[in-house]
Amino acid sequence: MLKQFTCISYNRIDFLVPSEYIVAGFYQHMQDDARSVIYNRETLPHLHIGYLLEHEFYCKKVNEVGVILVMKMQDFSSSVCVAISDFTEIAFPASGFLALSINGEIRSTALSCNELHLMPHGIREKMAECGISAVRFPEEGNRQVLIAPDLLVRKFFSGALL
Amino acid sequence: MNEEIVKAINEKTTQEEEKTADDFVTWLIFSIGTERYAFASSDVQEIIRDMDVYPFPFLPSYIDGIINRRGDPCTVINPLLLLNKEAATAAAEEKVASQTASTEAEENGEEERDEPPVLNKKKGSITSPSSLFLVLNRSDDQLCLRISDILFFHETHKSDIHSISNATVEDSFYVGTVDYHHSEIPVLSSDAFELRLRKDLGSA
Repeated sequence: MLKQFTCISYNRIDFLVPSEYIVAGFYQHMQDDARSVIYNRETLPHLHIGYLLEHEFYCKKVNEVGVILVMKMQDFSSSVCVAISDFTEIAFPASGFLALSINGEIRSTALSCNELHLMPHGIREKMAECGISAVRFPEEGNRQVLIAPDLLVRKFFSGALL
Repeated sequence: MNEEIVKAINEKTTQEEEKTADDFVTWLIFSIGTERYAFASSDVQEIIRDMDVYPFPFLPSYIDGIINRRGDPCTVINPLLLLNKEAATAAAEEKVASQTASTEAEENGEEERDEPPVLNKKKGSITSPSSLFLVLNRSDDQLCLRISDILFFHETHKSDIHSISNATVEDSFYVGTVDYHHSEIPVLSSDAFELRLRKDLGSA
């Protein structure tokens, strides 16, 4: 089964997010600590998750220009939505959209689910809890990691990264 | 005409083969750091060399990451950090020193490293002794141990194995020792590594 993914590329690692969860993606130069983004004349709460990815996966950003990913609050748990709203001090707009940003490059790619591999049994549960769902090795020295942004953001709030 | 005799000989031969196979164990003797250890060869599925280890976050320090085993991810355990307290302490200190140096470098505005810390590039480091991996023969997980070297195979009679009784928690990675030229080599338990992983990660 072919599925469309949004691929966020860092050096030697790509993060894959199912495209169905991405409302829009665009490049925009902005401060990492900016708490809001204007999109479609709405002010969206904004989190920069690039630091979390770079810090935890030992990867290096490939450009200074941020990529904004617009997502729907319905795809996040209510506790995470409350945390985002509290942290950014921005209420969710009527559309229910929120913005996550990273400093990678993005592209759209179609992949068969058969090409992705679940993490080894012993670490699978822990990885899944932290938003790491599967992995793929497209070539030697490179890896693609399927992430669940809702769980990764939850980790963002539970960690000491704020 | 001779069917019965042939059948009887065949049964006898099979029984002897089974008896022989049951009485002897082949051990894979390997080193981790400067110490020698043994695994029953039936516990080892494969030996892999020169693979990149990809670090993953949110895992205990004794997990180096995963390797790409022909497309399938396989967890890499650094047993040195579980078996050798001194090494574990040194590794912890090294990690702190490395983080401090990294922070200082960032504060001084030095350039970040170009390469991610693929661990086999840090040869000689106590936390990453080599790029040699023993893939354990498990049906419930994809698990390998990072080891220093493969030394030899050694076959012994079952009676040459000294089981450890009253094992403490610290000893639980060992199931016993095997005699080799008047020395005793600790035998590791592949189950213990899996259990430790599941205990620490809260896996079912």
